Amino acid sequence: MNVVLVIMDTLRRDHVGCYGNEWIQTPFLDQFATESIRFADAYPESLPTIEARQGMYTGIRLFPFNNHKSIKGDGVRWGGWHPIDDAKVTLSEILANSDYRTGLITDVYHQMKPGMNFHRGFHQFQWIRGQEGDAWKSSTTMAKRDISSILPPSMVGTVKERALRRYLANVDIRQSEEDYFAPQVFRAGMRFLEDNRDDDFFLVIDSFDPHEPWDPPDWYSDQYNPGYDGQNFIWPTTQDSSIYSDEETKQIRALYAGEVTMTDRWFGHFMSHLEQLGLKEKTLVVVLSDHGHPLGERGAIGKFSPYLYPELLDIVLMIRRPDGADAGKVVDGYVYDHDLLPTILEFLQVDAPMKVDGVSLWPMISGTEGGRDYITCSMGSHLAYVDREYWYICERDGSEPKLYPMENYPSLDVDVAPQNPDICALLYKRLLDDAGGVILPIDEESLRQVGPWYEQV
Amino acid sequence: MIGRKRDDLGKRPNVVVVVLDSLRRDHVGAYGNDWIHTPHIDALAKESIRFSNALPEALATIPARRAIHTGCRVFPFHNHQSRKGDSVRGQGWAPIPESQVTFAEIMAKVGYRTGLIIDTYHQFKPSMNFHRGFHQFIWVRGQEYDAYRAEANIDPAIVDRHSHPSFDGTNQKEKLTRYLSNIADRRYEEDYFAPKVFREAMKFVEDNREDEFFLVVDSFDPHEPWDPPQWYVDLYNPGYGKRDLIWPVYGDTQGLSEDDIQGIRALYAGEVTMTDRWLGKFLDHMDQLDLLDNTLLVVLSDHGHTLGERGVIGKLRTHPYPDLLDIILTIRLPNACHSGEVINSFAYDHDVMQTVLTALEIDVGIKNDGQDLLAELYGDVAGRSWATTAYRDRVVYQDTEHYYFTRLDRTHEHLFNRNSDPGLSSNLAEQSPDLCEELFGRILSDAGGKMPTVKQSDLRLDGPWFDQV
Repeated sequence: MNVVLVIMDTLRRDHVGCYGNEWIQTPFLDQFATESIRFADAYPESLPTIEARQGMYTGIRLFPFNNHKSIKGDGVRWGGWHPIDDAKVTLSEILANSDYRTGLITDVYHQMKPGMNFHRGFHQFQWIRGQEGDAWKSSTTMAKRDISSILPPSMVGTVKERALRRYLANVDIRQSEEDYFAPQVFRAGMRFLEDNRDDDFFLVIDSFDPHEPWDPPDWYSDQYNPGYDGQNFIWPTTQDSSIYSDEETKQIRALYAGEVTMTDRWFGHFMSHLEQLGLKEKTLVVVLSDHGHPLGERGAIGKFSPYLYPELLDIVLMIRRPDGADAGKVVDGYVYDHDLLPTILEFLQVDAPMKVDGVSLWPMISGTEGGRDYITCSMGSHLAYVDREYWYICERDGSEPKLYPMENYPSLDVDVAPQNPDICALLYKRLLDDAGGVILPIDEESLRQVGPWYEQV
Repeated sequence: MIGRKRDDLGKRPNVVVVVLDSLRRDHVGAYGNDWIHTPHIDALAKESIRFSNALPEALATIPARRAIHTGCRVFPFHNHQSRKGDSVRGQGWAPIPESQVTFAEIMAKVGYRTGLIIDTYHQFKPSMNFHRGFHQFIWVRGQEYDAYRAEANIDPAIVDRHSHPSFDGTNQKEKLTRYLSNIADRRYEEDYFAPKVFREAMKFVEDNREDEFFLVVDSFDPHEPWDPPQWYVDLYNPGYGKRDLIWPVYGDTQGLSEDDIQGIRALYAGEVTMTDRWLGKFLDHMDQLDLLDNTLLVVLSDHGHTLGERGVIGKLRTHPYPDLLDIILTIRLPNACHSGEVINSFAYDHDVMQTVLTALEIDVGIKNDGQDLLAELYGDVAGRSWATTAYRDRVVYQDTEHYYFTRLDRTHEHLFNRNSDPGLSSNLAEQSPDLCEELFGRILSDAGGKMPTVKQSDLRLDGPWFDQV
């Protein structure tokens, strides 16, 4: 038996056809859903990128980052953004020990930064270089290029401009669609299948796409905004989305949608190859995203700590059984990314050597259990709580509460926190309970390494 | 001594540090070898200041890189902690401590464009962090046991061709299988590792030639497996056509015939020549781009490799003799200042950083353990008259007269007189306890007065899940 775990970074749940989107083409994920068990209410236990991977790889909650320790050589500083603790055991280590051939294919470059260790337990790993800010090619070569067609005027001369130039240097050599990132990642995935088809294998395909920069080939973005001839803001991060005109915003959404469609298409190629090699009926395939992405719904484009709303927190999760059983089943009920480890292990009848926080999803799938009553999660300095009645967001100490009745989901535009301090207190108490009773403050200092030499170059 | 004025090295020269893994000092022409072709290192040595007694402060690969990248001694291995996901376990084999500042971080801080080009895969294992401070890094995949390609497609017959009865009871075949799968698709010389590494270095200097740059080129070659293209092997052993033992197992040579050992030596020599040749191409490219004379260029190796001497092969901590310890070190100053000078005092790998920083007049207020190796050129100070080198639980003391090594707990002592016994064959330890005491005292002083006590259990993590897959 084989397992393939496909992670798509930054794939919004509401931007996928099988989850109800009507304007973005995701035919392969939609087809996959008809063969799979689809979870309607999946959430990350913490985010963004690195935090979510930790939950998936260890089955243990990282929330609420009380043991945070930044490391040198990484300019990103969020609570929980650090390597996997050496005291923990990873899914790949467990499966390698059970004689699975383990492989990791990823372009999520954060996992390759100094001190990171997400390749623990993999017999083979492949890093596709060059995503986003990856320290790969020489940005010097881009120092003089005119990038006004893709750089918002407000970002001229900022760190953002430097980052964009580095990205452009990284992608300067690509020529055809197969050289784009999602294509490279899924192509490497297909080669892994060919090489290891005679073994029992565990393969993780971790695609940074559709994370920004959003620069799919024209034929993808043109599908969604034909005739557009303005600027292409491929990396539009801002807390003030009013800097973009309506036309520009429409194009930003078209670029993202195009990247989603491209990623979907190469996922489709991969699934087709799995079938062609006769592996589909011997392989458990899990597809999920790590988080979504605000696209201006509340003034922010990008992942910012206060904005723990559905467009950021809702994720995709589908599981296809080798025999196609339960095809098309939709499971309502709250589930987490860190439930995958026990779910996969139970399916393979492999015992976890440690206690994990996640729970196997098979009882929920068979209907013998109903799932969790609520979700808690965290990103940066904020916490979120979700149940059928309320969506609650607050700071780590419970201050600045926002309380939204779920009847207004997903817009959540009515904040009833001021009228309901008791409910806020109750929900914060639940967050505290999930945190083991303590949520320590994360101040700027604790996110920095001691000494003056922490800055990432 | 009268202090001489330091040379004007021009305005912020570039810095290139080339590390060649497993290059034995006595296998290089510039250091006296008369049968191996290393024309490019030889020519470079003539334009450089050559250190005739350079040593690593600790072995092997990772400890030596820590010294080079931080200027701090790794010996005496205080606070050693092994990490999950790496099957190599030895004192000092760990990431750069977070409390230390790296060469690249300093150079980045003072405005240099920093780059690392490397196939020494140990530096990219889980939790490793040797790419700290680099604006750009390129990792050439596939060396040795790198977890790169699927072994499934390798025909066992190919593995058998490179195997030997001495592999029985070891995991050497498994390692070979992985290596052979890693290189399965290479075809031309430019696809071999040293060529790939130096080709990337050429691209780096093309891209960044208008910046002030700090480039570290870290070539795993001539580390084993020793499998250069046949034309390099033919230089040294034309009859050795099968290229069997590209990766001999570490230990005694009892199971190996004289022909086997000659074959192994030819393979190694061929790999040395290939590496030299591609280093030469890189230097030529630097020259073509008009960069060489505005660059401070350091070339060093990290350690040697025992090739049958005293009946053993490999890097054995039980045999810390010169064939394993001696390294090359050359420093070419901008405009080849002081070209051809030779410095005979003992120089360490961890001195390189401070030497470069002093030459460039960079002082960022970060302390390290290194010394400025060029100081004696200018009459500032005398160089070191003795040196200590640690390798796991063994430590070596040497000066021009004595060669002494022992376990950290002062058992298993060996003492040799280099003048009367240059081959280091007569152990005088038992008859010279006072001298041993004195030399051990010097080691102890280098360790800050307290020798580390490292138990085997310190080299493992708690729990049953430490083993690398």
